[in-house]
Amino acid sequence: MLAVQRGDESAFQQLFEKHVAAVVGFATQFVGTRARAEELAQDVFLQIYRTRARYLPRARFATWLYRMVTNACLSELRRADYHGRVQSIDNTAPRGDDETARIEVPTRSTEDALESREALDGIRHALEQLPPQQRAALLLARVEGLSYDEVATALSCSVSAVKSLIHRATITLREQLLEDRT
Amino acid sequence: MLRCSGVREDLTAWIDGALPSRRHERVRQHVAACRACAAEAERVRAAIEWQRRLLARALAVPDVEVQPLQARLQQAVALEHRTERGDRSVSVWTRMWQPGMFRPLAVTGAVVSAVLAFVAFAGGPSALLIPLGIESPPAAVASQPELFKDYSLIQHLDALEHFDTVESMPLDDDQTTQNG
Repeated sequence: MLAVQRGDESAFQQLFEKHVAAVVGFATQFVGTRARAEELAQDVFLQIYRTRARYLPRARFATWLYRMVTNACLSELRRADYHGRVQSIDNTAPRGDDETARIEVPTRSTEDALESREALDGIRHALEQLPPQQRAALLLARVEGLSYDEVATALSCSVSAVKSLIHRATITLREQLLEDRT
Repeated sequence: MLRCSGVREDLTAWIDGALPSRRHERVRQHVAACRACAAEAERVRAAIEWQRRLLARALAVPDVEVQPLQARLQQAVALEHRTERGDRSVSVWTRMWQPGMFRPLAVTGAVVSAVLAFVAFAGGPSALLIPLGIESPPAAVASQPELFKDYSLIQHLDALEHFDTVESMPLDDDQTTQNG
């Protein structure tokens, strides 16, 4: 990012290539469609480019990145026209561009594959039931590997609030999936 | 000794290693001594493990086509560059009228300038006040008011039928006639 600040265009391209897939995956959990998630990812990287002069290397780049991504996702959820553009979360068919159907699940048999796909669908469905702040905190910590301090920075809240958000999300998700199984 | 309800609220952060060291140690001691909290801690630990594993797979989006996305982003960045260059070429005067903190200042300055220009062209502030009777005219005007009076050249002009009768019409002022 420091190279980007110095005007190194190739460094910006490398940053984009390194993080764009993760950002699209994260954003898809909020905006519902992959196409919209890709647009949002582009907007975020453009914003990073615009504000590159303001970046201070006090925190990891990922923290700064996911702060922008989370803000953009939560803003999207708050937009008045959001519900008109998001596909139904109750749709049992694979979402978006059939991306879930093409996820390669390393299994030993067809039965295992079906079970794994069911598990992934179940966890996606359970995720969508979580309040957006809990969802964001959980994904940042569990998937993106941010520490509680970094999640607090990304969500602009206190560490104790993050502790509570992640705990509630963890328990709710566990109970939701137990319900689905029974 | 900590209460079970307080410990259970902290179990996720405890397993994640996100508690301050002193609190971490107190929770550890409680879990070691409390069978119910120990069982709950194991359930939370198992949940965290499978969530960590499955969430990553649930979020994975296959075949993100980086090149088209990158191309669109580069176009946007190029546009950004052009805009930045364009902004620098815009004059200070134009930028003053852009929305922002300088607009009120610019408007105020323009209004003050307009008033000052009007007053200057009109002959100073007193010139505006003379017709209102607030200010006295200059001494030169006061001593010879006839020089500055609006005279009608010819009286009864609307009664004239031919211009050759102009000479016979009474004139308003001899001096005006001589000058005219």
